[in-house]
Amino acid sequence: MVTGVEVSDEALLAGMAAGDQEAAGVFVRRFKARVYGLAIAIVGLSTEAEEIAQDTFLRAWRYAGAYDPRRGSVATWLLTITRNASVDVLRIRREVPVDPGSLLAALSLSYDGGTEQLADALRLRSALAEIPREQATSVVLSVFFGLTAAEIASRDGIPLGTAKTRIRSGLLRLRDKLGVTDG
Amino acid sequence: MVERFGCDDAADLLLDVATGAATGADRDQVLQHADSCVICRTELADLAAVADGLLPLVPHREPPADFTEYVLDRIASSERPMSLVDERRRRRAPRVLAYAAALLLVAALGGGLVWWRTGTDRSVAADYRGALTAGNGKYIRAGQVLSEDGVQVGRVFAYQGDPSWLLLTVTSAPRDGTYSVHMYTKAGSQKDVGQCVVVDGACTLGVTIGDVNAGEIRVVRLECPVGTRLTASFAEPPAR
Ligand SMILES: [Zn+2]
Repeated sequence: MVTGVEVSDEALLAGMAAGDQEAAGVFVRRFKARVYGLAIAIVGLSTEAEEIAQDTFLRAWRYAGAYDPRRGSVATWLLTITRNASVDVLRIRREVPVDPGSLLAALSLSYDGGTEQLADALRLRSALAEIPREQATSVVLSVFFGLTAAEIASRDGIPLGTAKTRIRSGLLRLRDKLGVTDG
Repeated sequence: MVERFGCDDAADLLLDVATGAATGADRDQVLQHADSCVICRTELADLAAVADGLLPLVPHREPPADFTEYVLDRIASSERPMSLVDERRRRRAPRVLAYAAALLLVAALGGGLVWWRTGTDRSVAADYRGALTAGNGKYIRAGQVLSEDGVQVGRVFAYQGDPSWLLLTVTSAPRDGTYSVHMYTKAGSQKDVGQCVVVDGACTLGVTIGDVNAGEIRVVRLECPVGTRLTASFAEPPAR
């Protein structure tokens, strides 16, 4: 079941849930660049980023059986684990990210990630560049760096309501951009 | 307090939960509320889908060359092989090998009802994929058995093959006793599967499931007369 060329992400996860280390090998090779890329984007290029990436796969191995497809794809599930682990590291460091701008720039770049440039991803990239800068920045600060609306308000010296509006409007605009064209 | 937590309270925190920034109690409260409130649930799912959709946009970076090897080493050493001593510690989660052995056993018998206790057979070392091959298997689904308070107390496997079967391994049930086991399909039908006698928190039940497609099982419930209920559900979709 894990030897085929076209094994689905879900199948690999099922294999891992059943204790198949070979499935784990295929899974790690398939996702390592995405997981490591996200960890670096959040905590910076460091040994911590590599540890986060390793821990992500360890957690995926342990909790493969807990994956719920109704909440999103395997890739999203895995990257959520990576994001949470990365944010935990940031919280331990007690650092407030000073430059969400470079990540925002990287996200908006028309980056060639191989064969998986899905239509939605392309639209999200261009949408991020199109929405008001302060909204995009607030979205990046919350989604990637784990800042709550209250933390963004205090970081930017703005009222809580304003911070919430920025995040919310940003997300809704991104969603609307996704919904414009039929997929 | 939790009962009074309403839409207004949820709305206050919902955004942070959707972006993943909320932690601990805030998050739990919102999720609990969303569980029973379709408006907040829809809102949360909507915003979270956009937020999560941003994560894959980050540029890929290749980790150091020995990364995969290192991760696989850690995975391999995260399991310890079963030993005779383990028999005394049945409450501990059984090792992967136990599942492999159980799967092989059920597949080999090829039918009927099989009772099998995790940890008694230490000699079967073959990979579970052997079971798939032996049984002309199409796919296997795996999932968790949870107690009412959401604690994982065991594992479940459903195998689509010839024959198809279901394997439940409970290792830390909150209460001993005879549990009746019912299987519910996605189409809504119910089937009595058999009984699982839990001793020291543990039992294993392997059973063929006749003409029920393994992919169609929605949930399996284990109920004991005093009311303790365990629920087994799967990670989806089935491996093809
Ligand atoms: Zn509500």
